[in-house]
Amino acid sequence: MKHCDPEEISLLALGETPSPDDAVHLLTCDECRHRWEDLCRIVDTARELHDDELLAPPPHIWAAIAEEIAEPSTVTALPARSARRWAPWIAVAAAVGVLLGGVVGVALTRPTTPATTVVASAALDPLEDYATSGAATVEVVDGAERLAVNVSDLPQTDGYFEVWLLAPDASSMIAVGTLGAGSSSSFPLPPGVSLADYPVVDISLEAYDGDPTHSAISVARGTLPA
Amino acid sequence: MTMADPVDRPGDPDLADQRLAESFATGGEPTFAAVYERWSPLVYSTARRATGNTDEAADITQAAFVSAWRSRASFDPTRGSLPGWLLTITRRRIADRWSQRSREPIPDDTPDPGVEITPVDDAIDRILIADELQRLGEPPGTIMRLAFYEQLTHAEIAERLDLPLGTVKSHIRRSLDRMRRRLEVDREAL
Repeated sequence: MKHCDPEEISLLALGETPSPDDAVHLLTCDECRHRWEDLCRIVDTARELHDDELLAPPPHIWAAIAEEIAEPSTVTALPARSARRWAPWIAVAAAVGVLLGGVVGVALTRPTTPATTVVASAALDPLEDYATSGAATVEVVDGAERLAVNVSDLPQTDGYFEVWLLAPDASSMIAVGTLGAGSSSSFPLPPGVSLADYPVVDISLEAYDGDPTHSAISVARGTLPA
Repeated sequence: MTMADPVDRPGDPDLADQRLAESFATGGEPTFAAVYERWSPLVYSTARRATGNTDEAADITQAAFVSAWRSRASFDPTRGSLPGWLLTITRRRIADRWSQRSREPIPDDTPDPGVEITPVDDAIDRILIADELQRLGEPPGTIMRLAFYEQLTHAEIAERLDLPLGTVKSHIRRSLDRMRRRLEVDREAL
């Protein structure tokens, strides 16, 4: 027994008229009739759809979810000494950074390499006396989140550059890693870190002084989109 | 036009969905945010249709995604689809609402005008088909809209779009097959 052409069954489900052979076959062949009935249900459902069938939830829902799932902060308290030293300055700089740091893009962009999905990115803009700029990207690489940083025009230094994630008001921060000799580095993000709590990517100039806290000298900064 | 294997098409939405589903169980908040961005319209629209009320739908969406976040480690991408898994959670949250409501003597919320109430399973079918229709790309998207809503025959569509008959027929078959497969895959978990 010759089955109906699947293309013909699709057309019949849409309401086109069957050939006499197809009509007879559909009556006698369970396999073809089953396919036809499935497609008829899909066509009927599709024809009932309203223009507003698929709507995104109102924007405040994500904020409520993000608040509910926020995990306890993983940041260790900073020594009071250094907090006193740089906090006011850095808070002002953070505000400037928010103004300067143009948001490049949100959401999914096409993967750059097969296993990489970019979930957020931000431009890094120079601060104060520096010319350093570039971009920071949050990527999912083989299921793990990473922060990729790419900068140019780093100042000459005897020290080194460190990458941080800051709270919007710079009241707390997480050291992500040390920028290598090149201008590009990628760091694993600490599991459970909330980018809603630490959206500001900051690059600091550090001296080899053994002090693990932020030097209060930032060369570039940008804010990841919420 | 030939349909290449998904792996050969960079930027393929199916591939992006698959990657997202693979990262979900082990990913952190950025991955979860991307999952929300992609699939929250399905969850919200299903809840909206099942309850007929947009405020309830918003509450259900919130509850469903909080549950999804907390139990994400239990999601196994090799055993089922992520939208199917999210819709299973959505269905449970909708059921919670119904049982809550039945305990309340006077429901404090009534359906919003213009939002028709549909049984959950029918709501899910509608939402999955609407989602798939949005993702067909072109020209299949236009072909299917003409076939569904203007009820044109394949010959009329071919003439309208100046495409060969065979091309229109094969787009129709592939598009309906995609929808049929989508219902099978995402309903499997339900």
